[in-house]
Amino acid sequence: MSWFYSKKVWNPKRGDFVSGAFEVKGGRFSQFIFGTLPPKNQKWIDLGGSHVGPSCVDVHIHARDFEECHKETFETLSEAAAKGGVSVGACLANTFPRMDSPARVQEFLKRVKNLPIRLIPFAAVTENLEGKTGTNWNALLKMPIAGLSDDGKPILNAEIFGSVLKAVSRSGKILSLHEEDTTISKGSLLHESHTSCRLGIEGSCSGAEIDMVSRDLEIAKKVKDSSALHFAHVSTGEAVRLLKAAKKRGQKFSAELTPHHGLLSVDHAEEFPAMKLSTFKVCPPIRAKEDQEALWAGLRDGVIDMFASDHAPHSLLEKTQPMEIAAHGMIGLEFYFPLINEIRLRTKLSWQKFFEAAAERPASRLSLHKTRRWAVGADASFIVFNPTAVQKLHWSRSKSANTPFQGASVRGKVEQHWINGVRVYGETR
Amino acid sequence: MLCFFEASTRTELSFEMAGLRLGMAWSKVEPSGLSLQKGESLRDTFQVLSHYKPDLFVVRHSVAYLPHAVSEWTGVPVINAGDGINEHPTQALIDTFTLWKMNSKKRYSIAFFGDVFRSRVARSNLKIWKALNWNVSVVDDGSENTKNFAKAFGIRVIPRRGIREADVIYCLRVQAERGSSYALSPLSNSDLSKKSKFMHAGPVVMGKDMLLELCERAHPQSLIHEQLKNSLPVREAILDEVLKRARA
Repeated sequence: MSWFYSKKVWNPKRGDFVSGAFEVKGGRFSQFIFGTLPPKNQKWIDLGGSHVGPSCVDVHIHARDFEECHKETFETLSEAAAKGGVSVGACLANTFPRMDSPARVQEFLKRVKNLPIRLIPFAAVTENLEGKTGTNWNALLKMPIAGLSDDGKPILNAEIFGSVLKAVSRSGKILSLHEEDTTISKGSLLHESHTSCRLGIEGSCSGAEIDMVSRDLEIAKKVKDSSALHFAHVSTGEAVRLLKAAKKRGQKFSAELTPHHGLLSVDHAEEFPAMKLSTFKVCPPIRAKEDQEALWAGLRDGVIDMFASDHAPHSLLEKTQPMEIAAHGMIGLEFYFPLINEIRLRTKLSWQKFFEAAAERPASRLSLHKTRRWAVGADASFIVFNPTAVQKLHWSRSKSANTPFQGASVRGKVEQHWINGVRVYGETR
Repeated sequence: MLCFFEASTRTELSFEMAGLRLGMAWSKVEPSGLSLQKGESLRDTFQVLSHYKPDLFVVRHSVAYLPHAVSEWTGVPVINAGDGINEHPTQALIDTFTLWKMNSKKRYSIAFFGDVFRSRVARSNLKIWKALNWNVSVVDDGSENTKNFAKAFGIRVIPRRGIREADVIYCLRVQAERGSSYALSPLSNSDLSKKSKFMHAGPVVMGKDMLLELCERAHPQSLIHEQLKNSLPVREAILDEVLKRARA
């Protein structure tokens, strides 16, 4: 049992940070008292003037491990997440071997059960993520998984999409969608733009995402319950507009914004030397400034309702390559909180909306709304942070270092991270 | 080592001849004979080749930035002989030298004719010509790609009749292998004014890039054979410079 005190504890009722104390018992919050110190007879951990708020939940992580331990192991992933303020993460199914059978999901669950952070697997929609034959959805959806997803690849077959949407919606889990029409995306190297033209790289058009989002919203209209829909890594302004219109019509879904799509636009690619260009390669590609602004607007008005890292480690072997043959993706966990905090500052997002997008909504999407709340009885998982401290990002915790944010300066620093009442990162005073 | 992963007549053979004239010996890498066919990566392939101590690689490949990667992977100097739609810098040096030899003081006005977007020759030339403050434009072929290219590089899009004002018309080969199609009817005598010259990096697709009437070796306004003539000394100079720098 311990008491914590800070001059800036998150108070959701006030929508602000206020002086206060909270007690943690058995890994859960047992009391919050605002405007006062802890009871006199209690010892307490003084968090000084640091901000204290809920730790983050990330619905989009590529964990690797298994046959890709050269990129990341569950242990290094966990260390990166601890530093980045992420206490729960949902891991996509494109591991090697793929998470496309109950036995493999079982193996995953066994491997992650003793980690300080909680990792929840997605299972694949189709065998080997090939988009052809569905996996055993009924059996998989009975397991403790986040939902189904072929992320990394789209579900091009509309019939499979319609059926899996019905199956997942019935289960209360999520169907995470990688929206890319690969017949027109030209390998998603770089967004089709003046930049791609100048760099001599065939650009990937926005239509590759827009067409798929539009198709899936259309199909979902015909499905009685389509609440499982989750649009991963939304990148185009037009997709935001489609989602906004769908929300107005009453369609239910969630959608995520990644730090890279929120903080970068395609013109940044020209700042990279030729051999570093592949660090910028991610699918969907980082779009134009106008798209970035539309994503910000979508975040502010709730059409995009959560952040997600899309943490995708790749070794130098896969990334020190010409863009065309390099692997897609970038890491994001180690500095997850600073990066999304930077988005908060740039978009002037309220703290209330920020914590909804960083913790509450993703937790509720993973059916953790009872245990992952900022309230008595919930898991005592919190971060102690400085929201304005500028830090230069030196990535070291992941096994891979593929990020365009290497050496970038952003605002926000996690000082301590506690998960279920146990400190997993930082020093106490 | 000459590493040509795409077909080439001029670039490959002129590099070979230029090197021989400098007393170099070449190993020619035949892509079809490499273990790439067995699944070896490009990175491993070039790292293997680098152990055989080449003084330099001359690399042509359909993947943009492969020459840069080879240099990074092996530490061996690399001359880019064409990478995807990105660049063909030695051709641009030949073209610029050809114009400079004709008049070293002139600020040329040059109009591209053809699919600039998929042309590595256009990208490389444009970078040099813009640095020289020459006046570059492109003929409107009605495509979005051409308009975007012009905007991206800050050059003018001109109607076809406007090329009569240019000192030089640079006709580009339609890159069928990279998805180009013929948006313009072939360049012909009627497109030329009395003062204008025309260039082409070759190979010319006769009757499609330009009408046969322009393909005559002795056409008074053609600079094509000057370009070919200059390719040897320019590539000799490039090889010489690269080797000097590598040994310094």
